[in-house]
Amino acid sequence: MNAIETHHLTKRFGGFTAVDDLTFSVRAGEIFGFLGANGAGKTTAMKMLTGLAAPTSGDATVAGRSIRDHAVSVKKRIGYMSQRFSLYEDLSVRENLRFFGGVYGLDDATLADRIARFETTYHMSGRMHTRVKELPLGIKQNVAFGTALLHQPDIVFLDEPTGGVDPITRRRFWGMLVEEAARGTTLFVTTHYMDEAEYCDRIGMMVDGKLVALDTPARLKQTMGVATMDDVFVKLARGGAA
Amino acid sequence: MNPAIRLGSVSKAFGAVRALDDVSFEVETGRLFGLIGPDGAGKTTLIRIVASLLTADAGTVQVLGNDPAVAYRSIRKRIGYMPGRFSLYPDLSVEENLRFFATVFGTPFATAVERVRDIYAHLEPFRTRRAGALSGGMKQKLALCCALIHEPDLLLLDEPTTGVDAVSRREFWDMLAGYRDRGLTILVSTPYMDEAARCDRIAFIRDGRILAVDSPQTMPLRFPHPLFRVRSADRAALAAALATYPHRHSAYAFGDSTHVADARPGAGPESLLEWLEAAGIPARVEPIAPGLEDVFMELDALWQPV
Amino acid sequence: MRILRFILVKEFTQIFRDKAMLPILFVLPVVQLLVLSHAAVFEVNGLRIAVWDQDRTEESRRLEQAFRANTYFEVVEGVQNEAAANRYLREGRVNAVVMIPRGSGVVHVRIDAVDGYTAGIADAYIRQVVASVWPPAIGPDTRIVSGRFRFNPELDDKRNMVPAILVLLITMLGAFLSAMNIVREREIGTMDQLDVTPITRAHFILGKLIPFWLIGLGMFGIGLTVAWAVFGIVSAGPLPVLFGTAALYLLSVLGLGLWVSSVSDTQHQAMLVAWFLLVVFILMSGLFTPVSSMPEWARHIAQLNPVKWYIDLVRRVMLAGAGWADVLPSVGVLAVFAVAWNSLAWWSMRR
Repeated sequence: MNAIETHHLTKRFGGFTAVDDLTFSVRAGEIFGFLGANGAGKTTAMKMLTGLAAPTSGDATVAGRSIRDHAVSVKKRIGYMSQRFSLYEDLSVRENLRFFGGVYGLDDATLADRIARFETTYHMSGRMHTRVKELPLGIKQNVAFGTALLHQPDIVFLDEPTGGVDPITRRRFWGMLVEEAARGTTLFVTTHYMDEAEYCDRIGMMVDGKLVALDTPARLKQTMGVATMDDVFVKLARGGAA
Repeated sequence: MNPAIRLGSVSKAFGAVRALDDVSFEVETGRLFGLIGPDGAGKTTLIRIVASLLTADAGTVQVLGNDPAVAYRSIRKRIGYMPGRFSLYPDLSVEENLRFFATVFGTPFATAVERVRDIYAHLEPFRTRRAGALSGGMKQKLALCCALIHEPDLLLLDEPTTGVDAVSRREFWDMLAGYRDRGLTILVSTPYMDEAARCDRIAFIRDGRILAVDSPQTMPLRFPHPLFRVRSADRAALAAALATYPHRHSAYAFGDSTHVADARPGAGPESLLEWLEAAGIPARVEPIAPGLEDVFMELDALWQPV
Repeated sequence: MRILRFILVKEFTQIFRDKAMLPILFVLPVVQLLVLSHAAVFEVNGLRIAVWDQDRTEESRRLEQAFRANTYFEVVEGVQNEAAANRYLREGRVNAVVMIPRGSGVVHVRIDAVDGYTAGIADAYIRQVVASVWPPAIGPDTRIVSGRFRFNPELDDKRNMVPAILVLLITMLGAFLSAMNIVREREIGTMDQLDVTPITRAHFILGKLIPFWLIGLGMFGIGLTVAWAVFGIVSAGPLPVLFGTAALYLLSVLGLGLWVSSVSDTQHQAMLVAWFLLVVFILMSGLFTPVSSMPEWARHIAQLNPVKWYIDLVRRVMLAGAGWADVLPSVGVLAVFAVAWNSLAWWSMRR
């Protein structure tokens, strides 16, 4: 069972092809690392998969539904967390949860139950009424992740979720991701940090709008004959640019 | 030779928040010095004090032989500063930004370009593009050009590579190393350990206090325990088994493997292997040399905020 | 409906959490009504004039006395020659110089016409005083016209101004708040987050419209209360007509704000565009200069100005006691504005 399948997914802006004939699949329950240099087409591909942009041609099924024909029902089945922590800073943790839970159509009983569970999972008791802007960066990140999971989506998209965060906080965050994936949630992650790529089950690498590699981190390192994911990335990105 | 930066027991508070607490270290001339620590550790405050943009509450600060609180005019001419947030004019083109900063320092544009020639070479194809429309990596290169245009003796960089892809980050650090080789002193802050490894010396900072200052090569020797890398296909079961391992000092996930420190000095991998076998988890256990990140985690775990 | 409820809860929480918001909602209407309605009075008082009496006869002195006795005038001393007369006018120390040449039996008046409105009033007042004291100077055809003014018998400017200021109040509030709001979501990055949720465009726009719509109506109510409590002005026409039309008018203003917001990238831009549009609308609303005295092309443009339509409508209701039937044509026009601008906003917000 695949969580995401793309078929010749393409996006053009005028004469520029941002995403070029992308065909790949993401298995349910895996952590899929989506890598690429700035401008390689990652963001555009992710926008299509989350229903923010329509493909120029090709299609993709996300959580079993076509993004062309069922964008709204796809949106109900996915969660999204971006590097910019798109929570409302002037609202409290609870208010943010209620809002985002509510717009996904959770009923009051379910919402109360999920919020209570969020409180224990993320050790947020005593902080539920704190405004988000007053939370430390690491905690904000947890709250953003917990918010994206509140409606129990099949797939969560994480767009550079750890930008500017120290190793300890990042490690805790990835610990959370690994646990969540073990529960069966598919995680689709972009990152610029290759040590994080090592946590992923499989890696897809974009160069100039094309997917140039797709494999486990270990096999990628092996086939390219290098020691770290950093070297894999540099080799692939430079190779594609040449 | 005098150190480029000398800090003695520097403290700084913002209201009740102690941003820096008794910070002392030196940065020798011509070195690339990394300030490594999490968000909110005080890195930015420290750099702003060195840049003469803030004054310390207590302690002595010497930058290029002078106190920045007093001699800020002369010091500002001799330092280049690149703040954490992109601080160029996004609505001006690459060339217009450079011209502006050259004018500010009274440098003719041609001279300025000559001085930053190797970085500007990367930017030249985008000369007329608005700075706001550049990619993360290009923005940082432009900011670096603008900070170097007046040939400073000391370069201060506050988290210069956040949001920049791995290739551009590598190029950026190659450039820094190049300028260091030509005698420039550089103080750079970063939360990333792979970048820490490229410095001559590093200081770990946490909650406004310096945890350790060392070279990236000798820093890992501070790790006091035998360390093992454990790999298993079943990560969840492995984590559960390690949680109850009696000799466990610490266990942290590193990508697809886990680093386990044994609490007993001189311990080998045998008891850990036996423990995992008894738990029915097929795993590979190999002793490894600790890395910078292991030390940072260890020092951080020992660190108790006052 | 359920989604909309959560959106509204969130919007209201954010609006009332904003520290600047409560003063804007409650202090602004009171201050605007109190200050503006006193300041924007069209009666001209305290006209400064100099009387240069070369004649020095009993008759000329009588005229000078008449000016001094009149409370509309304040007589400034020291103009006894040509140079002084010109200087005083140039420097704005007097609005007019009244010159009585020796033995000629006429009066020469020079009026500072930098402000044409004041100049016109000064001219009329001076003529009246001269006519009352010195009939020959005016000529045989002068008669005093007496009559009655309707709807505002004392020609009290406040009765005329207060309704207009009420309209300005809800116009500014509605347009600015809605213009800033959507673009703010875009600026702080929450727009992306909303885009990936099942929230539809209709939810989103309604969620933005309804709070400001209710707040605007609330402010209108506060304004009417202040008008009654402070100025004793009570609407001659029915309140349901006032509130009903206010609701419609607010819809059009909010639609304009949403449109501005949806085409702007930053709050800064949205603010400037909204400000520019409002200044044009308010200056061309007939509040400061009657639309009827504008040149023809400007009069045509003024027809596209909802502020003009609504000020006119509120004055009709509050002063002349107009009811639904009387304002129906204006209501139709306002409805067209509301539909047009909201459609524009809807269209330009297409994702």
